[in-house]
Amino acid sequence: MLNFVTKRILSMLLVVLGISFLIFSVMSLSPGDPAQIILGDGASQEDIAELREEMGLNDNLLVRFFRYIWNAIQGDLGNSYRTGQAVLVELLNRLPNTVLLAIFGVGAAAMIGVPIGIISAVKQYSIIDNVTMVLAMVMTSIPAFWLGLLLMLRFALGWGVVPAIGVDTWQGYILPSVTLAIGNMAVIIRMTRSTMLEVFREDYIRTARAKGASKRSVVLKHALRNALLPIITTIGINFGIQLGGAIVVETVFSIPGLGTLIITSVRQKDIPMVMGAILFVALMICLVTFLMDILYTFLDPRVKIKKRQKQMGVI
Amino acid sequence: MKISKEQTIDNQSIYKQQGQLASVWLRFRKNKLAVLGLLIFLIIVVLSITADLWLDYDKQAIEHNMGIRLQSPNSDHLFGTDQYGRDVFTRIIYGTRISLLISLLTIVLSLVIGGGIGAMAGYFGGRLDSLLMRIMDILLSIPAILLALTIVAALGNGILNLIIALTVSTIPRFAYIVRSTVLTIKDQEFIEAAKAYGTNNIQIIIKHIIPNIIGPTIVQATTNMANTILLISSLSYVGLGLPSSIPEWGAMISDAKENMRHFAYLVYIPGIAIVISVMAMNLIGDGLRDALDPKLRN
Amino acid sequence: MRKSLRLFTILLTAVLLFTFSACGSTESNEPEDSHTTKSSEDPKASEGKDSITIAYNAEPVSLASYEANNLTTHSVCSNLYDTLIREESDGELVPGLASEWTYSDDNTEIVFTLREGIKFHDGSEMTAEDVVFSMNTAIASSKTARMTGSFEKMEKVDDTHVKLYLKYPYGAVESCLSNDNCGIFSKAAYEKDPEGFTRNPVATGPYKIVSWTAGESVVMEAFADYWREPAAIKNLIFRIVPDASSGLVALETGQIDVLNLPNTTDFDYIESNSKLQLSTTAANSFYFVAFNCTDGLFAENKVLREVVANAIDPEAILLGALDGQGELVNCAIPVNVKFFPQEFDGYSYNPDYAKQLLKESGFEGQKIKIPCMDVGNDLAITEVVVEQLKAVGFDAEIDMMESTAFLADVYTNGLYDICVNSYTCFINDADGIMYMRYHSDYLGGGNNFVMYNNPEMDSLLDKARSSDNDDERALAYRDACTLMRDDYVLVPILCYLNALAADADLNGIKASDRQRIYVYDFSW
Repeated sequence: MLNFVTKRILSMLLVVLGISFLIFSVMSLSPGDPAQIILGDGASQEDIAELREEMGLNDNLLVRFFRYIWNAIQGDLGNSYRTGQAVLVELLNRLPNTVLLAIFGVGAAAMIGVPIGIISAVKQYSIIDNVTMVLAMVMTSIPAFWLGLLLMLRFALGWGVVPAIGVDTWQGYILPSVTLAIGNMAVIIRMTRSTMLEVFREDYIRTARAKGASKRSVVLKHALRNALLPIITTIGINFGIQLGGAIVVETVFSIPGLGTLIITSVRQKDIPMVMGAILFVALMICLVTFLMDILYTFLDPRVKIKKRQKQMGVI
Repeated sequence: MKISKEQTIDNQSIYKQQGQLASVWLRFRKNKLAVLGLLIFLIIVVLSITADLWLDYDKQAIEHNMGIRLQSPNSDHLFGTDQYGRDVFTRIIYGTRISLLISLLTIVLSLVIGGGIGAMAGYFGGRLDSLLMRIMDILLSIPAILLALTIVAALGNGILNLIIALTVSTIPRFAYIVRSTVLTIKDQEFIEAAKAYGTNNIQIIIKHIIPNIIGPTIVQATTNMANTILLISSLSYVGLGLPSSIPEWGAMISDAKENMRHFAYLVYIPGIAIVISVMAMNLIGDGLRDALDPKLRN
Repeated sequence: MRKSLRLFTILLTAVLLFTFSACGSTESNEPEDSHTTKSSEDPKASEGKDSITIAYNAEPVSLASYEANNLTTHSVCSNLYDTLIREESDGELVPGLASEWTYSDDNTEIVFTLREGIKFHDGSEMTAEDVVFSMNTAIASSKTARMTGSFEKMEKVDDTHVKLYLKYPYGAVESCLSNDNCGIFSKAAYEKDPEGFTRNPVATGPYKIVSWTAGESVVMEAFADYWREPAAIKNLIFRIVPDASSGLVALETGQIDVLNLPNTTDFDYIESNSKLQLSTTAANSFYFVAFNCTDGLFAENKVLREVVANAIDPEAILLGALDGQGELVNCAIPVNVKFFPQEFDGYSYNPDYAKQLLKESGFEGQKIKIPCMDVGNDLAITEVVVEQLKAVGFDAEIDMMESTAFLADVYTNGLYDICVNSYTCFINDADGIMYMRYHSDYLGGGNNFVMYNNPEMDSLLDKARSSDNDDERALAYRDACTLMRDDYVLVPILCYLNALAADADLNGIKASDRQRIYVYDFSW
């Protein structure tokens, strides 16, 4: 088991390294000259050339990449072109807001989505089922910023029960989380529904029914317990999608998180910051996926570890 | 579910492929919602192709006409006009073109590249398989919007860069689809037989692999079209999307973001167009998935 | 059975959606009593009289005066620092930390008499050494080139006098000195922690820094020992709000008190809302269509430049791109900048004449690409320009470029024939927006990127810069604008508006042509 975990950790690190290289290479295609960006319009050509030398910008891609990784491992993700401050510090400042937002979003989506999915599965093809399916589809198609503004107008301006922007107080998380959740709930609802339906068809359910178990206990005790695992892993993977969706939601609600940081940095060509932020997000997604993987394997005794390893291509 | 005699015989006949397609279609047809989705999709395609015949692109969709700007839906302009006096109805119809084009291009490119990678990985197996699929994992780990932002950060806005971002995000999915199909088929006996008979690899691919991947591909394509539109909309909202002259629904919505409160129709109308298209796509996808699902054959 | 279910479902959903969102939008048309109670739980929101929250859509780069090089940073810093000469909100230059100053005969040396008893935020007293150190730091910094370009160095004369040496006589020097780039700060505080100074400056301004939470807010409080009356509002919070629509909602709920740059489409609504007030003024920036005057199609064919000048309809651009919220400008100096020539005869919109001229010129009709940066206003304006050029017969196309690519290709290397861009004047003096842009000394390299090379222009600009007579300078700038017009160097279009939306109870709210929000002037 430990061997398996170690192998998976290595795997994850390799993936993170790959992502870093991908992003680093794409960034290096950027036409702007970092030295010029840092010094601003007034700078002279000599100053710029000197800074380029100093920053090691004239070395080739691989050298620069490994230098970046080497520094990153030691905690130095470079300095922002815009402010000159350390990238890592800024990222750590912003991280909690985004993570909290993602967690609340996932939490809200799960708390509402899972029960709906279960009900939908139990009452398959009924009007409730149809309504939820249609609603789920509609929810995925609504642009988040539109939804956010509508919610803001009604709940913050109209009824005044929550703040319009920012997360100074915990209430500030309500609207953004709901906005985020609605966008991603559909996946959870559909996954829950289809997993439950699959489980319903299994033999042991028929056995339970034959043995006289009540419908409620069949659903909750037998079916749900077995469906829970894939549902949880979906929710976990959904966390990654939440992080992506958080970008727009953060902008709408003025939340100082990684999302707004990425947007500002992209606009201002602050390459080290963009690089660091995207890396952070990718790292978190990998981490969550990895944890879900371990969780799944750990909790599901039916799955043989060797089989998993083979599928992943580790051996 | 009643099994027709034709279906039973079909599965055993030498016209196996033709029978498979027909039976899939029959099952699909029974799903009313899926058929509705297909209908909507076909309407969209027809509108997009014939648009030039009954609408004037340059005059209504592109040209600025300040005198009639920001009119609510009325008899002259079914969906009103935007801040430059452009007819929203025309732009919606032409918007189908852009959405379809971008999605189609993305799908084709991803399929060819991703499929190629998946096929190689599945067929040759071993280390190549591990390496390729590891790279695919890497691409899968990055949410499309982040990848798009990276590319936009480096290369700027514009359709080409968006297509690159979307393609790169979709490649791994097709790689997995094709790879698993190849793996399933690879060891089956009739491949050995075909090889012994002298059929070369390409014919094997065409005959056996392609029919099996059509289904999952279309399912993936439908999800993709929906995501494309939403991605462009999100990027435009944060200022990193397409120029406003291009009538793309997502871009139209974020163009209207400043007018959202007072001219809400500018957001509703493209929004509803998106919802309808996405729903149609998803209905087709779901219907197809159900129709292809062997578990549902009974 | 399923058919009707499905139909019913979709209808039901549609009805639900419309009801929900319809509620959202109709209610916004009637400004209710929307000052709802939520501020009591929100420690950072203003509690009425003793604090003010101002929303910006970007963060300052740094709080060090010698690093400020964009509008947001300048604005935030202007509350923390004082300068030797101060610019009042109406543009007048008055004594600041210096009570008086005298010029040498050749105008290359200025001796300032410093006020006494001025305290820094940490309680220490300002000395001549601090002034000298601050100014020399600013001069040495590469980020202040716009302001300190003409300064040589500053020296201490005695405990109450300092002398500034200029590289050449410079008419706009007082304007430069009033910019927060020349802010005076504590030498000791800087030397104790040069790195941290950018986040914890110690200066003499009406507000001092309390905290800066990256990406969220900059918090300041009124300096009790300020050498003038302490500021009327005790707590000042600069808050970063990236989206102006959200910002307006927050303004209406009372979560913020001032919104910088609300959406132009919301202006009417803000003015009609009795709980809010709106102040606008033309920015010290203007948009134009520029030509490469040395290389390329438009350089070789002056008549084509004339065609373009007659093809542009600035009013339509203003309406389409900015909803009419801006001011037209017909010369190369923004309307609020000192020495803007009043009643100047610029170009007029003559599309028919342009069409005719184009035909007669025998222009072959090759495709012309118009590069612009891929940012909001630039894009919108260029799209209208392209339409107008197409209307007179050009085969014009927009070339949206990523901004650093634009800066590299168009600005620095001059690889273009025609483009759309904007200039900003950071000081209240025409020299700031004319000299480096049209003088042959600055050809290429990112300053005179229109590649205008005309000795007559050079001498006009030199005269305007070095003269100390305002009338003479005004005349020189007017002549310069006339010269540019006749040579068709660029086609000026408009100045956008800088706007402030604020709580109606605030006094002293006045939009600034450089987006400077000087909170000392405000009160409840």
